[in-house]
Amino acid sequence: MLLSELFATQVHTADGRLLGPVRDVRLVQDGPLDGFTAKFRVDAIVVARRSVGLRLGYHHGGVRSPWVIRRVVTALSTEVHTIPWTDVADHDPEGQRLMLQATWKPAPS
Amino acid sequence: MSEATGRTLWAALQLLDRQLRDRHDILCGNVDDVELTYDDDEKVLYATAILSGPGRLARRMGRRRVGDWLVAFFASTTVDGHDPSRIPFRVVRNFGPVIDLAVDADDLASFATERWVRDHVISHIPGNDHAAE
Repeated sequence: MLLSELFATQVHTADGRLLGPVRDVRLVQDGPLDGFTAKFRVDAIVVARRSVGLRLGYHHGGVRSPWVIRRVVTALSTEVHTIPWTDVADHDPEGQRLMLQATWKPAPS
Repeated sequence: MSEATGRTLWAALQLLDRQLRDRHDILCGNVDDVELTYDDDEKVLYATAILSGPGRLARRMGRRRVGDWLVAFFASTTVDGHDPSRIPFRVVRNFGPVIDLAVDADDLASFATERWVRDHVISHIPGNDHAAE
C-alpha cells in the first residue's frame, strides 16, 4: 500500500464516531535490519478533520515559534489526535477505513 | 504508548516532496510517495521504499490509471525490468532538508523520460554523435 492511500483513509472510533482522515504518519527506525539499517515502523498517525497549518509542524513537529502564528494555527485546528498504531483495531485499505480500539481515548488538550 | 528508541520521522512533514540528491550530489527528483508494507505476523506496518517519478506523482494526484501505466512503462525500459521509481530506504544515506541517496541519478525514474528519448529518438537522428556548440 502507499502512504497517499493511507492519507485517504478515514479514521473512526470504536463507537462509530468519525475523527477525520489521516494527515501524517510518525515513522520510527527501530524495525528489523534491512541491509545495514533498521526498517522504519509506522508508530503513530495524526488524525484531524481540518488540515489548516498541520504541515507547519506546530502540532506534532516540535515547532514552537513564532508564538503568534502558533496560537492562530492551533486555534484553527482544535481536534488533532496523535494516535499510536497499537490503538488501531482494524484497517481496511480497500474501503479506506480505519477503526480504533474501544480502549482508545483522546489525549487531554 | 511505548517510548520510541530509533530515529523518528514525520512522513508528511519531513519526507513527502523533499528533494532527492544522488551520490554525486546531483539533484534527482522529489519524494512523491512512500511504499508501506504490512507484516501480517507482527501486525506492524513498515515503510519500505521512497517512490519517485512521473508515474508516482500522477498516481498520488489521483490519476491512478495513467500513473500505473507510466510506472509499468518505465519499468519495462530497464534491462532487468525493475521499477526505477522505487528507492529502498536502505540506500538512503541521510534525511534532512535534502535526502541523500547512495545510488546514481541515472538509475532512478526521474530521468527515465530523458533516457528513453535519448536512446530511442535522438540517437536515430543523423549528426547525433557530437554535442551542440
